[in-house]
Amino acid sequence: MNTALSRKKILLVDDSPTSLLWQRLILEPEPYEILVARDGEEGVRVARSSRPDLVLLDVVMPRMDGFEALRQMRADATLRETPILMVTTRSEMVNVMEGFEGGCNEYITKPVDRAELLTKVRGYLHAAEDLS
Amino acid sequence: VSASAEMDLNGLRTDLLMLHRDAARLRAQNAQLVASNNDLIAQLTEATQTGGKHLRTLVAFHQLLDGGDVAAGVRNVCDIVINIIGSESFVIVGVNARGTARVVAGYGSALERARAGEQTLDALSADALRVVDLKLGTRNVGAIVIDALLPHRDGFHQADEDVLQLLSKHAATAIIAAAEWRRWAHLPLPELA
Repeated sequence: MNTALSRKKILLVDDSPTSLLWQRLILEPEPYEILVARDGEEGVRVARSSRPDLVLLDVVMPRMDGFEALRQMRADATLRETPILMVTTRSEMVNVMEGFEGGCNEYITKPVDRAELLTKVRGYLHAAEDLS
Repeated sequence: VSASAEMDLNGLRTDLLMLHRDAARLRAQNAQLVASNNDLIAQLTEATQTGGKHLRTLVAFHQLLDGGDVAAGVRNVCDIVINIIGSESFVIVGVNARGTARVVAGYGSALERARAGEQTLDALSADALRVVDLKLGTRNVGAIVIDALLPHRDGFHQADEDVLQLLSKHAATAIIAAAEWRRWAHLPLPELA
């Protein structure tokens, strides 16, 4: 299992250094390669060039917010099937709906729960593995 | 035939009795395994929760030490309150030696209220969910006044209390140390004798 997962790339898109550090500390002990972008625009650029296996995407960010980044990623044929998990403080239904309508796979609220994040990330990466 | 059947019946009864004993023994072993398994699950759950709890404090601690100057130090404290504690309505208040309070940073409706005129610590703290004293040694030099948690948060948990305690004890020191460092960084190196 570890060997297969060792090639999986996860892109973290968040402008909060605290949030990025937390997510990295949760995910880095796992056999994943972690990529980082600090706003939506950089996130779309890194996603297009690096083709991650999974994206964790914040909503409130400078330059381009997470919803717009989500739309641009989904509009790219190479990223259409990539699992994108929104990770945000915005738990109001209107935001959750916007995320799902934009094509996200999951909506995780901050502060991130370690077990929830690991379970969901593993679930999507394993599901992608089973399909391939 | 009847005697032979009786013997077979006795044999079957003996077998049945032994099977009952085996079943009882297996049930007892199974109960032990279930208990042991439950104990392992409980230990694993506790270890996972403990790991998660310490991770939050570790992140907060790292971020506190990461402030390159006063502004970055204050920004990091705000970032910790938003992303680790889970509040988007709070202010950070500094109190000088004469007891005058000043809001130095914040977020959301608590900050708007402060901008609208409420600047004294008492006024800001009146309806607060939590007031976290910021200490420099044993002296109070300010407070983080948290008005509300994010709607999906049901209250402060032990992991939050640990982070709040860390902020109370070390946030002010980290910010002031960053200010001192910025002031000292321009000083020329002394000549060594």
